[in-house]
Amino acid sequence: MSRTRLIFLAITAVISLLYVYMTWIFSPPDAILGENVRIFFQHVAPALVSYGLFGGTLLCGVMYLWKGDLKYDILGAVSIKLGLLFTTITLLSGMMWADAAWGTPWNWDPRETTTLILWVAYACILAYRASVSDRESRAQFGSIFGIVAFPMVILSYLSIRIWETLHPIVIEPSGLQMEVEHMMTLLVAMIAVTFIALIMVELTYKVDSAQEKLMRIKMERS
Amino acid sequence: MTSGFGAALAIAKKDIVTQFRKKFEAFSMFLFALIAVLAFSFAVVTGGVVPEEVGSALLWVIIFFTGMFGFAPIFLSESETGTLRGLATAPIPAWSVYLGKVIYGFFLMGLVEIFLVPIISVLFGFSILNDLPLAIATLLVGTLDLAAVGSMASALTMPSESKATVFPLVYFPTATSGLMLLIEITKIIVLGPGLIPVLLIFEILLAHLIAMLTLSASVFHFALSP
Amino acid sequence: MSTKVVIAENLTRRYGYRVALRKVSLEFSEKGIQGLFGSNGAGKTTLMRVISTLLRPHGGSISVMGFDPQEEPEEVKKRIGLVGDKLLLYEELTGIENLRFYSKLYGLSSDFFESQVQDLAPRFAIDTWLEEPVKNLSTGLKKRLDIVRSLIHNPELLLLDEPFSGLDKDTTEDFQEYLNEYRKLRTTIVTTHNLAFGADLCDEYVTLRKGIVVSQGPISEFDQTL
Repeated sequence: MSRTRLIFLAITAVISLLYVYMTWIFSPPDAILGENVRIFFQHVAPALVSYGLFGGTLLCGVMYLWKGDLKYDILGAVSIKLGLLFTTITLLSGMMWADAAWGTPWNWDPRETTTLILWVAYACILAYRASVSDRESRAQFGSIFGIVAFPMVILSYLSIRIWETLHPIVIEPSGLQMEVEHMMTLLVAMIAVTFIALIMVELTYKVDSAQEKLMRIKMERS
Repeated sequence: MTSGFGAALAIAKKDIVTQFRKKFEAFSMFLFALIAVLAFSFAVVTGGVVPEEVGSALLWVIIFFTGMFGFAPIFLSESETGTLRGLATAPIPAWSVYLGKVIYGFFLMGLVEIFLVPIISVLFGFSILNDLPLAIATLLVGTLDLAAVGSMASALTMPSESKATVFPLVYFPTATSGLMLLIEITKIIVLGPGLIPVLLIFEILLAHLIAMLTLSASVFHFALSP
Repeated sequence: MSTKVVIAENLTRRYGYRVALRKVSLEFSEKGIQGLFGSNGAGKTTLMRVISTLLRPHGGSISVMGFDPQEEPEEVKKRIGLVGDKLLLYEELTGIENLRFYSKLYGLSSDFFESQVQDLAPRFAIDTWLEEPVKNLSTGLKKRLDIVRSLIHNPELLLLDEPFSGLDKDTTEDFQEYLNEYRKLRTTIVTTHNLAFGADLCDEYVTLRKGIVVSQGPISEFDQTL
């Protein structure tokens, strides 16, 4: 393994340990939520990371259409899959938190709803890709789909803004009311989850590329 | 060579003429919508009435699903018969093919809505007359939006193995964003203003339409000739 | 020395993991009937599609009548006519409506269009059938109409992909006669896997096998037994 990768892995490991420590030991229980506040960190970080990954899908789609190099498409598919994974974590942790804070796991809150829509949307892209057997077409049309689906991400974000400013039903113990320890934990959580996501992206990309290369060699031999 | 808009109109006209001769698609879309109305009625009718906010929302849901049914053949028919190649090799910009199909989709859906909207408002007991100009503007913009999304989705099903089953998968993520806005506006028209100014949402809807049209048109070139 | 209408250099095109054209370098001379020979899967159709701007090369370069099909597709498209296995006709429209539609896409003036119809329709014996919807025509008539469609804009380069397969004797003769007449005025590239037929019709040839150029040159040098 190269030195940079080793260093990166080491840093991630350290930050992750720090993150676990801060989540469970360092952070004091919240005034209102008690111990349940700890779920908060597991929820916000993956959510933001998933937005980043879907942005990555858009970028990879554009790059593939522009350059025609399949590498971009492989990376794009990886970011969809991992984006979906992190969105799942966001939804599940969100439901746990909602249950703890308001008694019911699902409230059809704009933020919850748009996240669910986002999940379904990207799952649709994955299913669509699976239905196109020609590799080039899958890349071509999959990229187009990824690009055309992106306004959904923007709208989700916007709708949260619109509905939130006027429907102050969604409350978070964030913003100015958050305790300093919580803010710090959140920051560390963000960094840790981002690093973990990057490692997962790289690993998945390597595996997928290798698989494709193998298939190509097999095809050329036959 | 001909201008892009000229080509788009020629394509739309060709499809409209074909539709008038076949009539099948528009009619089956209309029937499909009525089936949807019935199916929903089983769920939402209580004491012989449908609550106003539910009924008005269902209008767009039904139009959305009718679109899912009706927009799928827009490109599929051309690709299956092979005529798509004729459009791809004509000296016209790729976006004009897309635009022509959007115009046709708008026309097709609009035709169905002329009958559907009054029927649904009677059956589900709500009135859009509260703000007729806004209602009509919303119908126009909303239908165009769904046509833009539906045409693109239809184009994307072409390379797929199972084209019919895949269309809803492509249509849904792209159409839902518009759908949410349309339902919100219609609720406000029927029930009266809420917490959010209706014009703001309408503006967002308009922005969404423009975004979807330009995005799809610029990317369409890649769908036509890989 | 004649100018070259198509020049390809190290042209490569893949289909997924399979290579359809492998560093193909060839030239087609201007004017005359050029043969593109090879068995199924040799890469003939792929090459035709690259020439007609439908496919983007993955490697190498190609120029068609001096233009790059990817950089200036409309310049290429307005100068080429295509006939392939699928008929580029709309079943619900009449013959003349089909032709008029394409004339709009190619930006033809109505005078020019009329004169073309007057010239081509009788030559291919479809003039009495132009008002009939295409779906009512026999296969032979449809094929003739499709040929007229490809010629309506008077293209400099005619691309025929297995044009004579499934044609009846009369249509084949009419078409060959037409091609002969225009041999000196226009370039035609014909693909076929029927070598005897190709040797009879063409002036020059290129043979492909598994995506590679195996031989090319004037037809006098063509050895059918290879």
